[in-house]
Amino acid sequence: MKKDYDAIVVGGGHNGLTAAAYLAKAGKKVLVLERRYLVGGAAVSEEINPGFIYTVFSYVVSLLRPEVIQELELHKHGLHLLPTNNSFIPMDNGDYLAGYPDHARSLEEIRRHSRRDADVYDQFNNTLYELAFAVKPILGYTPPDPNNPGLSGLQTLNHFRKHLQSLGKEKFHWFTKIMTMSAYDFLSEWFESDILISKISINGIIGTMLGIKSPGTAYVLLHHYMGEFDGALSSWASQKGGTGAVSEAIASAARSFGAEIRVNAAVEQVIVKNGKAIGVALENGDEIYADVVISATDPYVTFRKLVDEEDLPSELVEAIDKFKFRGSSGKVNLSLDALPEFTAMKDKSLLQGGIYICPTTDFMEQAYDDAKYDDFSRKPFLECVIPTTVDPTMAPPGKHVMSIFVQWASYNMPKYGDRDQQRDAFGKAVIDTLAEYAPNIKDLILHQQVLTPWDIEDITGLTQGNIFGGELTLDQLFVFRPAIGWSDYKTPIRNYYQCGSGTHPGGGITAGPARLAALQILKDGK
Amino acid sequence: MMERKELGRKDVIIIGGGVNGLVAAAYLAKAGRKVLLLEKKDILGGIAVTEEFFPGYKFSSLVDGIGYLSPRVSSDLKLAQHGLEIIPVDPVICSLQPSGEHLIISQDVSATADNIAKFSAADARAYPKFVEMLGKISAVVEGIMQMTPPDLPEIGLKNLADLRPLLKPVRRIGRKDFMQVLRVLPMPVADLLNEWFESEIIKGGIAASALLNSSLGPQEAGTVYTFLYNWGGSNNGLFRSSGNINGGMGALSQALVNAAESLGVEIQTNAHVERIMVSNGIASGIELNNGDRYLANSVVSSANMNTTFLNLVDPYFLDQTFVRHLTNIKYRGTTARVHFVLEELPRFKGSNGNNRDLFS
Repeated sequence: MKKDYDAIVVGGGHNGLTAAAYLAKAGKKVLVLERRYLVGGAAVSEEINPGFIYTVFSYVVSLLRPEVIQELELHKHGLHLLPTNNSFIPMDNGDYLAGYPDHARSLEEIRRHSRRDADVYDQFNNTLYELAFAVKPILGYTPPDPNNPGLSGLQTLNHFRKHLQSLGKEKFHWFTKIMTMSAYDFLSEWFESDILISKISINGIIGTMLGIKSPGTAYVLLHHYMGEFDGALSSWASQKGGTGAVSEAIASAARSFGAEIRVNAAVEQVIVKNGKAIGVALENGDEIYADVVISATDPYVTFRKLVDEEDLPSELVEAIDKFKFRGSSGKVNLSLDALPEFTAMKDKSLLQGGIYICPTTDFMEQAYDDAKYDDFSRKPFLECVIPTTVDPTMAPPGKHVMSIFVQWASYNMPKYGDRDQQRDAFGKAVIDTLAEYAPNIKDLILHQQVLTPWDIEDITGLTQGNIFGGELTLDQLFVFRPAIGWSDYKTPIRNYYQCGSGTHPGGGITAGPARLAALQILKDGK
Repeated sequence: MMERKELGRKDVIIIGGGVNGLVAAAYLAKAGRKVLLLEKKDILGGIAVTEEFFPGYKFSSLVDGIGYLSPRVSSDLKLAQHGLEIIPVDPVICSLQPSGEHLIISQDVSATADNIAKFSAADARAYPKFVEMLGKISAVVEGIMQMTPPDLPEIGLKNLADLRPLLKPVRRIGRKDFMQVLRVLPMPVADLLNEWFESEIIKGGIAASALLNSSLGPQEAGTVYTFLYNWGGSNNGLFRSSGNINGGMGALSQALVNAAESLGVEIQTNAHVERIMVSNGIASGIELNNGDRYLANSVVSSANMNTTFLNLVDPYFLDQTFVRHLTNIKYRGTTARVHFVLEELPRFKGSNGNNRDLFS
């Protein structure tokens, strides 16, 4: 059978690039095919407004697997992470809650709001770190097939059991709570200050169609405590040049190992013959052959678009059709004439970190209420970052770019009005809400890009605009991700693999799924 | 100056004469223990009471229906012989619609499917398979309900016996269906129903049984668990228990009192326990609010956790972490009840004069 490459990776997002890098490093002849004009998927930096570089979709890095950074030597390829440990949350009464890189200063700030909470804060973080450490190893393991675990599957489960037992009774108790409770309820058992609970609960709902009072969100909180940057858990970082530079670093590493990357090369279908993947057919009609085809797209695209239903068992088709991809977030990118002034902000250095609009827990929950009915939040939760405060090269001198992550926005909101109308209304709600806390913002906007869930889908291919390639709910994690029996990166089609965020350990810029997938492929002798 | 009296020693003292207290008392007496049950009110039954708000009109004021009354308990304590009469009723769920075309879910699966067909042919086809699947997987939750919870995480071979009520249904349904159980258990019931049905009326009518007495909405995770819990605990193997007790809930309490007394339980009402006496870290008896004391080898409290540990016991004896977890237990009340006296049966839109088929 003729073959052009050892492996073809469909989709040049950060996971696809990572898989390609690992396979190329192992000596394989690898081709990455990317539909758009640039690689990166949802981790891209683009000059949407001339002179201004938007980190269009994702905007911070935290969970990028340290072993990937090390094994692919990403620092040599331009990875330059800048810690962003400041945070600022304005309140409706003119007060604020800030966070600082200096721990003592952060505690003092919390003490300003509640002495009791300040006293408990370290113990809370230590407990969560310990729980995250206990759970984290599962991020590195290939999930076992519950129908046929095999020896390595049983070993995985045994390791997990041992980790849990080593927690001891008290921490195990917190573990069961954090796995089942809402972020709000869990945090309310520790803290009394509403603004502090509001702040920490944010991590429980990012990328999910759930509210802070929805059970299951305490788990997502824990997921975010597993973030690692320079070995320090739960730090967030900006990348110099935006998250697109992270993708470029991985692409550069892949090329340095000999991988070939083609952009403007959309794949139409995987070519399957006798139950085996033998190559791909591009939209332009070209056919390229390989021993192995790896989909770095999400499970819906992987199973319901790239291959025919007839080539898959009906159970898997059913499971993928049930897999939830509800987009819950939008993005607004702004070009600014100058830095915005937040009424409540006295210390301008706080502009360098994350600025959050979530003044109360009621605000957060009410924002979610709108989304439950397929609409967008009239007063949305916002996470704002101004990357130019740490990397001025992303805009002309004195000017700035601002990245605003918004929740909630439903993929189905066009049911209330046409797409353009809804997009405009959504964008307006974002700016109006922000203006309540930074009144001069409207005067500073030189350019605005508003991205709804369907825009995210149209541009990146992420189904329904779900940023994680499939929601991170308990029923869609680990052995269930993306379907029972198919959580080990293989598919029912021989030599067709999956390596995107829709596989374990899930979404975010982690490169975790791709590394595990690549290792699995090499282990299979492909 | 009140004279404190030491009123003797029992094997077991039970605090609280609600349903759980009465059942515990009966089982212990059945096993040969000398049991004293103390209830602070003048009536027994706790939440299971029948009250006559208006002369001649009786109401199961706080809860009604036979709920999760375990058939095992019913037969062990011979409640039927002690006056418990359960009137099975059908339909199980009647969801009234403004259009007059009501959703009626009865015990007969195919009759229900016919009714559902009026709303959606696809849902009518899915319904019998849904009932079959739910019947299977609810057995696992039912198994959980019958387990003595193990002392996690120190779980080992010694716990195998405790796990048996769970292992049996798990083994019976097989690994594949068990994985489905694990998959759906953490889900919101709305998500589960969206996988099976298209009609909002069907989904809404069924989802309601997941939300009974809970503070959760259908889009919240954990409601599949409560859904299966209600299904598994039902007396008819379908959604939730349906059945009335002749005489109202008070008749259940009375049957339990009869059963307990016939087994030798000593019951005192208007006996308000003030504190549980503890000596050397061991419960030794109780003291009433009038100063009288009883000694006992064991004290069982059927009062709620906060009352038991924060009122009845001196906090000196409790581990502080335990107390902290205790104070975090949530008791968010979410239900209210409205009782009416009616001149005649209401006439609902759409039924052809005969309402009987709508009522359970």
